[in-house]
Amino acid sequence: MSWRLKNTNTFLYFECEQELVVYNRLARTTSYLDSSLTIILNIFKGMPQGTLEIDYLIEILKAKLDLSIQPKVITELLTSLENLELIETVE
Amino acid sequence: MKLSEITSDDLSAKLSSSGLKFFAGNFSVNLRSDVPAIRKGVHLLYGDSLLNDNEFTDFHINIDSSQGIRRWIRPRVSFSLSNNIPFYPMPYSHALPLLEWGLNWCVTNHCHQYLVIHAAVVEKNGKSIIFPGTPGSGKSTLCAALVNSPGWRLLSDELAIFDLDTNQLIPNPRPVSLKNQSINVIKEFNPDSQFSPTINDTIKGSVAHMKPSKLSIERVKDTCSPFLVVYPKYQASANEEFIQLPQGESFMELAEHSFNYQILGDDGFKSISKLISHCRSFKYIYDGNLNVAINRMNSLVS
Repeated sequence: MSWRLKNTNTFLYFECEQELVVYNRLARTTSYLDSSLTIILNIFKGMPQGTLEIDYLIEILKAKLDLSIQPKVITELLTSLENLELIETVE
Repeated sequence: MKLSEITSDDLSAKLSSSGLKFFAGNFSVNLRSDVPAIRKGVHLLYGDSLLNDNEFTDFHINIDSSQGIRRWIRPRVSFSLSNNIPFYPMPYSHALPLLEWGLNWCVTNHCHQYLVIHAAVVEKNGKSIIFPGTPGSGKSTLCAALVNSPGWRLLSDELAIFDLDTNQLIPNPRPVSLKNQSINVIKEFNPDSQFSPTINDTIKGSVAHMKPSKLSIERVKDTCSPFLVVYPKYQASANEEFIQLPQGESFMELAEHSFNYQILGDDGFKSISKLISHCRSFKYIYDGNLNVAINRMNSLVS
């Protein structure tokens, strides 16, 4: 399974020190992303047209944070971003 | 010409006929009323406000006593804006609080050229502090104490008005609404402060309004940039705590406290982004010791 960023025109972003506030212009909802979610969303924002799979995401995070994160944790974070309608799964 | 400079007869005549045109904070009002408490209350609380000699008026307001049998049996008063009555009538004795609550409603429901936040705003040395707060947080008491202290002026005790185009806070200095124990706390803090009569048994408990300072009224056109956001919380017997809040958390709090954030959509989001970008935010817990709180606020703007 892989994910990609949803249409970026739908969102406005306010970047804080380590967190992000995101406004969904269609749904008129405002979401607060903690640092974990922000790191992952920023990875997606860095490749807006591309898709990401969990294994590749784990590698990027390992390089960025010098940490190995369990797939289960990544999946939970991706699900949170999907529930916030910021990313979507790609079959 | 100030409202206090017109004669009592003239004031009564205007209120009962074409209307008294004056500035309530930053907004012009044409007020009509047959209720004596309105005449006395407006004369006291808005005495330093200017009369409006322009044709244009922001809000046409009536505070009318009920007619018919209700004139004598449990008499009521009603608030209307341009002949539309948005609220249920209230007890006759609540006329002056009804005017003040109605004026707040006018701004929060109609002034969408601004972002309007449920917050008190004060300023000293060109530095403003926004105090967002839920009822009971102590923001009005703290605000009232500050504007009774040297150098502070009132922008608003209830509505922080943020201009979407200029990114400035718009002053709207009107009578400070105080409730229950806060009334005596501020009367003791500054015995020279002027108050309307205390009205009991309102939906908010006992309510009285404190006249804003001359300085606040004179500087009604002096906008200022937002400097700090402080979320006060009164807790009896608590140790004083002053903790910086992350920007993201403060953003979400301000959105929550905004009356028209949802209505404004993109503009609302962008406005709070600009506001938070320029301000540090703090949570402030205090035990009600106003001198300690004032010293803290003075240190922030010195």
